[in-house]
Amino acid sequence: MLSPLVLVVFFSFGSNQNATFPVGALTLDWYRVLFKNPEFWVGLKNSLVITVSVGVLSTVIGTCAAMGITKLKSTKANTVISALSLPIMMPPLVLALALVSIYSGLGIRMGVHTVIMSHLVFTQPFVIVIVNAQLANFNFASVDSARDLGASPMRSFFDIVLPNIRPTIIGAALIAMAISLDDFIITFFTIGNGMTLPTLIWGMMRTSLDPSINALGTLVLFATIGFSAIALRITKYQS
Amino acid sequence: MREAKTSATTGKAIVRMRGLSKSFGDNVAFHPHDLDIQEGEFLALLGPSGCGKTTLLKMIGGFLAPTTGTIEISGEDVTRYGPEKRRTNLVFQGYGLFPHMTVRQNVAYGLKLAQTPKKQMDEKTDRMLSLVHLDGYENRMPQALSGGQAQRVALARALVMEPTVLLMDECLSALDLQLRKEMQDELRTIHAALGGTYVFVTHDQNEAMSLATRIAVMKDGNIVQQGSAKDIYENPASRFVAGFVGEANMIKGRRAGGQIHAPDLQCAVTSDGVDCDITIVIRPDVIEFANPELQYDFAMLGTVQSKTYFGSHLSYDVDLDHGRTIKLTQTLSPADSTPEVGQQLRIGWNADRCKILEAE
Ligand SMILES: Nc1ncnc2c1ncn2[C@@H]1O[C@H](COP(=O)(O)OP(=O)(O)O)[C@@H](O)[C@H]1O
Ligand SMILES: [Mg+2]
Repeated sequence: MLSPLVLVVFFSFGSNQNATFPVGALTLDWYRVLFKNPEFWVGLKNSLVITVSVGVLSTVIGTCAAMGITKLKSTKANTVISALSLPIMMPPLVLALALVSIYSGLGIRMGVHTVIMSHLVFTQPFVIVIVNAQLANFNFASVDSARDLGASPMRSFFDIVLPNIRPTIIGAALIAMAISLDDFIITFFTIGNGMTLPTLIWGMMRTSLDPSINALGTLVLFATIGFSAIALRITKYQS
Repeated sequence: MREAKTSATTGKAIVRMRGLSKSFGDNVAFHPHDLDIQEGEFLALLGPSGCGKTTLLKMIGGFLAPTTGTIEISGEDVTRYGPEKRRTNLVFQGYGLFPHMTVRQNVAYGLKLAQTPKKQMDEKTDRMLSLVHLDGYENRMPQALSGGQAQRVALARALVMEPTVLLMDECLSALDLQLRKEMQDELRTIHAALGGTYVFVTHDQNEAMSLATRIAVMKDGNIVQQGSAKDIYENPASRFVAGFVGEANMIKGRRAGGQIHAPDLQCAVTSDGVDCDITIVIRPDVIEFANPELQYDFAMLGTVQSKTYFGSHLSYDVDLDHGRTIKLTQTLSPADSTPEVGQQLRIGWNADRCKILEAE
């Protein structure tokens, strides 16, 4: 299962032009080629903007939603969570088509902003489920106590709830970012003329197969693994 | 709408509730009442689980908006205020300590919100922590506290705010008996030392009787009787109160033509009043093993069925000759003879020591 990934990493450091065995001498040449490609920098910038925006927005919106859901009775809460999770159960292609028809129907020009909105649709269920699970163990009597001692609803959230679920929220944000950074299908359909790192890989694959693709793939791979690893570590620390 | 039950008293009421009620959908958790809480009193809301005690307490604290009626605290209408705007503080059933703050930070939190100057804040916090015997525990986290210590932190955190009314919701019921008794003593001491108005919710009649200067007995969303522990014990207004507050023997009968007839009684007794079904309520401590030289209004024969030793007193079950069992207690003094199980004897009590309830 992991072998294609290992190959990508291998080839990205090898001097062989055709990305086949033998790999050849160890080299960073393909990374140099990649960094000289102006499209790489455009894709990187867009990917960063999208990933960070999705991370922040999905966490803020998802946490608010989870707070709201916690106030509901458990049967109702489950229904709401299932409904919100529908986008991740749909085939990505169907979701992408649905989003594109919505944007064109509303006359919204497609670009980085539509990608962000689209990513929110399927990263948010993860945030909601993760934060909601954490809130289920949270003793809300402490929030009532804070209110009783003079805190406004807002203040009691920041003073009492947030410090107790902060690691979970950071973990959820990182997971949302990993999913967003990785996405190709939905990004491809909703970005219009722009590009992100994954769509750049696709574009490069169609034109050339030089190992700078592997260099790019390796970068994306390590960024995704990095986000997920930190997320796992942080959320594990808590329990 | 139903007429509000008035149990308002005169005097200096610090909390004044008028026509106050709370419904959840069709379920009326608290029926419309007028209720006053006097400055400096220690009021216990006593009743079985589900009778609406917490609902009433949360309305006073601002956690539940009443369905009808108004609440005034210190002359100000606070009906629409949230808890942060009321000078009340509530000690919750589960304490609700802040898990990420030390004991000291927990206690100082309210003062910090009120922007109390640092020096004054530290002084007040220290004084309160030592009042509840938590000196030395300032830097502990709540998870590292025993149940009794957590309870004290919750109490200190509320008391440090110098609330106009301190509200407590079954806050001792999670503690074991020994600790609960100690905390009751401490609560009484603190109330005496600091003064202030306390409202205490409990389903434990002993707790209510040992702490409160006034008890309000609740049932099914109604306050069914109010008064001092002695009042309520000696003059219960209903079978429910008689059974819930203290132990009681209850004998059903009928009053007709100024005479009481009860199948369980072996004697006829005169009683004034209209003809109706009645219940005679007799507390176990007013019944005596009959002294042959004395006259009793009520007297009957029975057999000692069981005898339990409680240190300061003995408790007996006496089977009357036609089946009914009467409970009685005997305070011990060295001179007393104590009947044995199986012994046949006469028991008796006087009409002025028992209570005759007309049919409900
Ligand atoms: N948030 C709520 N929603 C619906 N019903 C409630 C709610 N809180 C309390 N009740 C109902 O109100 C009644 C009184 O509850 P409560 O005041 O908690 O009783 P107590 O504190 O005396 O045990 C109960 O029948 C309870 O089921
Ligand atoms: Mg309760």
